[in-house]
Amino acid sequence: MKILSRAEELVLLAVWRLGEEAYGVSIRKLIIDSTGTDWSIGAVYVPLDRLTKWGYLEDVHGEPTSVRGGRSKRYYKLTAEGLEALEHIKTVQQTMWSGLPEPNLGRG
Amino acid sequence: MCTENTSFKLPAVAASVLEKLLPQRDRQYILGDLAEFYNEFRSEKGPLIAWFWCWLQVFKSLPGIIHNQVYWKIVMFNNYVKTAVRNILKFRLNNFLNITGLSLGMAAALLILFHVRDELSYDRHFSKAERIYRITNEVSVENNFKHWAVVSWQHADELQKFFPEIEYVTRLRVQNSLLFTYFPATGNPVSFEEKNGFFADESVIDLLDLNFHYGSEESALETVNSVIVSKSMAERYFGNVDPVGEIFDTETDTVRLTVTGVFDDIPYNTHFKSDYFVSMPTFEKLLIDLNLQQLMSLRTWSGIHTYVLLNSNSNRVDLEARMPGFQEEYYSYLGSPEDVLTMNRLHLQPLTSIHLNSNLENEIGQNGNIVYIYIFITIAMLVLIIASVNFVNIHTAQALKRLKEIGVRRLLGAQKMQIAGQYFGETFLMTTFSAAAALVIFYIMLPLYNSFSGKMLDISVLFNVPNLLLLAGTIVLTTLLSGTYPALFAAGFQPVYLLKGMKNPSSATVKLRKTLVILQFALSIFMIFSTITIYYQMELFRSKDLGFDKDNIIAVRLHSKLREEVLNNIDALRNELLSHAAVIDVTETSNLPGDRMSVEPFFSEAIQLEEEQPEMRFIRGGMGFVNTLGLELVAGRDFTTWTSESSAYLLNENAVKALQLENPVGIKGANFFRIEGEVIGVVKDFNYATLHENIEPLIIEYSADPGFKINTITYLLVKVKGENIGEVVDFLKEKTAAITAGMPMFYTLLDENLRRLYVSEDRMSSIFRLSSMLAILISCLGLFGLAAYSSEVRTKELGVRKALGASPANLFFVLSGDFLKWVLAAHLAALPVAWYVMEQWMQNFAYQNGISIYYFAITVLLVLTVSLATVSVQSLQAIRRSPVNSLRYE
Repeated sequence: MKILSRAEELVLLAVWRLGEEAYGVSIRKLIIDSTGTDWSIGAVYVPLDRLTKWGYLEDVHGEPTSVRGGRSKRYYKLTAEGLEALEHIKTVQQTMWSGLPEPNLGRG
Repeated sequence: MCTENTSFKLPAVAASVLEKLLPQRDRQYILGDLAEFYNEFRSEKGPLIAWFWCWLQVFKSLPGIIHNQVYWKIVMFNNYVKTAVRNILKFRLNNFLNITGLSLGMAAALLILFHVRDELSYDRHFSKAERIYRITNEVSVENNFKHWAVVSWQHADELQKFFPEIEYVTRLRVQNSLLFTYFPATGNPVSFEEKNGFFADESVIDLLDLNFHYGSEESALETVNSVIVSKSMAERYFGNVDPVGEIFDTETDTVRLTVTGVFDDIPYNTHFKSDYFVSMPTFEKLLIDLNLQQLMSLRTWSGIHTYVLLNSNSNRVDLEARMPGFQEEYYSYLGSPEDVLTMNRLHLQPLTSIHLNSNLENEIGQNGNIVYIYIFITIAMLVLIIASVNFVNIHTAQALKRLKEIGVRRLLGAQKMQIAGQYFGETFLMTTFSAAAALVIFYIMLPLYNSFSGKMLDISVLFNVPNLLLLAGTIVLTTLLSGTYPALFAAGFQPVYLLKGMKNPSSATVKLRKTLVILQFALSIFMIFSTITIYYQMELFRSKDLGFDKDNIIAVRLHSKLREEVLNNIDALRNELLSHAAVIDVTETSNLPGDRMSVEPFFSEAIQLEEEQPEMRFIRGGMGFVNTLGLELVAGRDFTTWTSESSAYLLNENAVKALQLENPVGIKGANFFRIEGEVIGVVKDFNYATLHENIEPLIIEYSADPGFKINTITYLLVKVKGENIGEVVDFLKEKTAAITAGMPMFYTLLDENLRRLYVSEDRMSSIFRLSSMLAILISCLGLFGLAAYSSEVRTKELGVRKALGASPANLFFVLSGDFLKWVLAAHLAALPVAWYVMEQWMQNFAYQNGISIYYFAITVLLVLTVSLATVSVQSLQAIRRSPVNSLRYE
């Protein structure tokens, strides 16, 4: 099971949250609103591309609209493997965060 | 989110940039998303801000998108490689053998080709190399013909006066083996025998691009007794300090040399091997001191290497054509113009052709031979071809094993090109890997090669453009040769046939395979036969009775004080040495056998020749000369007692013949220096020079004149009993140390000195031996692979035969018969050619071993045995398989 990068994890969660409405624009808007950082188009596209190629997301063809200059949309759906990957990264997170000793900080 | 009535189009340029970068399948979706955002921005913030925003997006996304593309391409490539590797590993053994064969072949070819490139590079690094020529002289007097690499003292100046195209001339006088001693202010004297040096005109500094480290180039070689030395030589005596002004003592007490400069070492790939240059005025003074100044005005004296630098718009052919004019002007005293021109013909020899194409009388050193270069190139090509052919053969055989796989893939829709591409890729991977392995082998072999060839190639030799091109060329060529056929071949099958598993190749394929195997073996047989012939010819040199004793003779170098002491007290010293139990005899000599002996005339009233006197080689010797060297007297006696002030001469048989003397013993004569003497004996001809040539007339002179002795004798020869050489050497060291105040004793063994003469042949012999072993190894690897493949392919057939009651012997012949037939055919093709080529090569030598029938026998036996063994391994394995197993998969 792959360990997802931060960006990939965020994208997956966004797709999950958006459900049927998950496509490039909505995903990007959600991430910008949630994280407060202004991700570029590419910054959203690259994780989407990889997650799809790995089989964690499935793409679904959408209808073109005029505001897109007549171009189609591509909707994304979380797959079972994708869900697994998210659960895995969550577990990894929890394991690494749990039961930490008193931090020994340097350079007060 | 998106409104129907506001739909602005994306800025065209920005959009097209993004379009180009994104993969086809994603384009419209991403651009669509971009368009949505753009529209929002445009509606809210206006066209300008939106335009900026759009471009900002493009720039921010650029790196990520490009990175992503590259990432996936790498992933795909990795997969491809993984599959290829997996495929290659499927037939581990065979592929390993194949790659090994190819790497060995490539490594050998690389090594040989680099050797060749190095040899061809000699003398080319001098900046003016293209314009430098050596003056050579073809002297033909009646039956005598010699092409000299040296001319007289005057030629240089006269040529410069006559030809305006000559920018300048440089005279060089070879100084063989001179002892240099430096006495520092504190500490022990430092002494070395310097083997490579010259007397030279000042212009040598410019001619050879000598780069001065210390000292000034301007006047370094102007004054008498000046010497410039190479950096390595300077380090030997002075360490790293500036030695300008320091003084060397030499063997001759009157000659003390002052260092006037230190130059960067001359690169090793030149025929001018030199560690020092002494000023020409020093040489002139030396001649005067020795009372030999008349040599400087003797036009027929051949003793000076003369080099000329032509200016850029002159032409050698043109100058050579005008030589007759020159000769007429300066040599008219020799006779009529026609006589002059037939007796002497001057040539301009290009500098760059000296190393490989020059084998004249009195060369500076041992040169190489262009013939060997051609031979080496041929060998390199042969080995490479054999290795590649082998690779092709086995590889195509492999392809047949994978027919099913290919068939399935074709059915599933793979294009011919795809399969060919994949196969080609696998082949390429294998050849590239072989090339890498070859480089590693090359790297490992380099030190061995250097010690063997006396060169100093290091791995950096690979890293310049021409060499890298050569390397890449070799790789590409091999890949093409080995990869193309199997790839196309594999992709060319019809799917139906593939699935049915028809493993039997078409008749065209079989023919091709047969030709390739025969070719491989023919080449290997050629090499083996040549190796055997060359080896025995070399053995002839090594073991041939040279007519004198070369073993167990110590040659001690006599110099300065040592020379004086020894020669002045020679009788006493001889007696003392002879009293030592292990010493058999002692004598002095001017030259060691194997060294060049000077050519001088012999004057005598008894000589009645119609033509000019033939050239005589002269050597000076001491008491007991004949006995020490184990020569055979056919008339007269050895130098044993001689009380006269004149000289005594021993002639060899050929000298007697050449001088047409009936009764040579007792004849009075004189040498070049007009010292008179008497012939006291005749010795049987012995090989004092290289076996490449016939024995030339030789006169051995004994002179009682101490002055003459000191100027000619350079070695003391001590013949000892074999087991005690070390003992005697120590004894001699003790004795000489007393005289030379602690300087080391410089000595050599006679047989070692002789071996120098055959260095080129020895090397060639070794290269041949290695290459043939390689060739036959590679061929057998090939045969092994083929036999394996063949036995597999014919398992069914074998099973049937066995079931029908064939005996193991029968089966063996069935399986191996073809291969053995092919190997025999290879013999028929190769042996006649090999025989012819070797005959031609032998013509190089005056003493030929001849090609005995045994060579053929050995070759055939060797090759048959090896191939039989190779094939048998597979055949026997196949025969033992039970018919049930093989017939099961019907």
